[in-house]
Amino acid sequence: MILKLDKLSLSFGGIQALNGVSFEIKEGELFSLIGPNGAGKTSVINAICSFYKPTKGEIYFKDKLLNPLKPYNITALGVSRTFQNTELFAGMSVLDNIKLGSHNRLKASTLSGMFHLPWAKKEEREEEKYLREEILKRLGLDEVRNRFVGTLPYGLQKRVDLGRALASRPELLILDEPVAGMNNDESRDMVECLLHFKKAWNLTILLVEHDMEVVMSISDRIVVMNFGQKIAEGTPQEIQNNEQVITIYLGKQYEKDVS
Amino acid sequence: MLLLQFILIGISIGSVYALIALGTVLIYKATRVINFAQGELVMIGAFIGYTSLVSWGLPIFIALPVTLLLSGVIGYLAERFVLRRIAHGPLISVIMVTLGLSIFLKGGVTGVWGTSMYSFPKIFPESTINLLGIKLPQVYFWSMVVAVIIFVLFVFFFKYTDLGLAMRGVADNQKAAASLGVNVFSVVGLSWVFSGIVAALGGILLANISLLNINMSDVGLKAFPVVILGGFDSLLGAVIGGLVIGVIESVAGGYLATIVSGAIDQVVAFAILLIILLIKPQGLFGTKEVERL
Repeated sequence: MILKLDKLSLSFGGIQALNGVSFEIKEGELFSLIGPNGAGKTSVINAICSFYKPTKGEIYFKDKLLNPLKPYNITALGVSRTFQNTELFAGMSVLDNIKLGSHNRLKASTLSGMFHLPWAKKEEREEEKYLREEILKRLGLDEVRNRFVGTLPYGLQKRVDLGRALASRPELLILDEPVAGMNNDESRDMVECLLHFKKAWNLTILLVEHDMEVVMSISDRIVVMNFGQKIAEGTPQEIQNNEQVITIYLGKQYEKDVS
Repeated sequence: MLLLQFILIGISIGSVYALIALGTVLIYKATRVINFAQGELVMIGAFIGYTSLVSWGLPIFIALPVTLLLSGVIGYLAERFVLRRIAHGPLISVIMVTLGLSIFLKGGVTGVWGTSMYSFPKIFPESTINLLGIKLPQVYFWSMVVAVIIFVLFVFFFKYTDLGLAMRGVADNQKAAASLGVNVFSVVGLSWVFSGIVAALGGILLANISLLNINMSDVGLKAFPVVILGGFDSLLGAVIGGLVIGVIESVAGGYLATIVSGAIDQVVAFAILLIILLIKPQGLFGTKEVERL
């Protein structure tokens, strides 16, 4: 078990965003979180990443309690995330975006970096080579690595967001709607990339996604949320056959499509 | 020959403007806050320099690091105990807080040093230096050198260091930077430290050119035409903007002051400011916000 949420509650003023949500993610699993808009999926992510402080309940990453940590402590533990609205550094190049993702890894001091001292330069060059070979080329971003992110089309920006999250070498990768707004081809490419990294890097993935085709085809297990509560948990097969889920979330239309 | 002299003096004064503007740009880059207290940081830096040289009698090579250190600490304290408390407030409130900070700092200086004129001990030789056939006081020459060194250091810092990259990230998107493991508050604090140090350097140079007095903080206002000319988020823009404003002031003061009476050189920078805002609201080197449809 790599991540554990124990009766997590979160409220803002009078609004109960999360209400006693519990689940566990096993190592190496692709675990999906689905539910209608406003169900609290992104709130779960923000709570894991310490952007929101839970009002009640605990979050553990590999038996370490995350509640008291600050957002910038989370990455160093081996958790990284992408954003629903690709919160990229729009005024920086693709390469700089990715480099900032790996900034925790460099050991050379600021001064030695500033004055191009040999060891700092060597370290930076090796890191850059790794990032280009293992991340940028895989994501098809190497050709555009010197372009400003803000000038790239949306589909590529989503990839930069993923690349940046990968650059910190996470064990748990949290993806907030990675294929939202993509056409079928882009979406398929993205899923292929995800599955490649999951296998090659031995990643555990927490996926929030509205595209049911993607979710049902790649997930190991799924949790369904509605109004801040967990309403179902199980394999894609079990979720598809769950009456409550079908009426609340998937709708009658989906039921017809499946059959 | 006279024109060349005006230009060289303008470049020297402009270098000091550039240093002051660099401080404003650093804070703006990291936090999107326009710091109205930059002029006060300049003045305080000069007063601390004066105190460590005269009252404490330290030799310059100790007094300078002490001054820069203390000025950096003041910059940090301003961020830690004032700005950070309102960091997530509306931007206009944050900017107003810097205005309050400037009044507070000015009051503090009046309390400690009073309002009289101080003659700053000359830290450069009184002799002149021959530049392009013009005899230039040494302090003017060294102002240019200091500005160039500081600019180059910052360029290297932002371009080649991890921390510089993190600072650019914080400037661009604080939420994303935090999620990548950047301690946003430390980085913002650091930008204020840098800003305080650069301001103190500007203050010491300025005090060597003219007299030291509480009104030295007015030079902070000069940073606005400079950064608006250069663009709020561009280091190079701050330097070029500083030089351009310095030269225009000096040349205008030299030629026009005899025709139109009064301190024309004081006005000309702001006249330019108005014209730039009319033609290019984002400044000459600033990033233009692009609306994507």
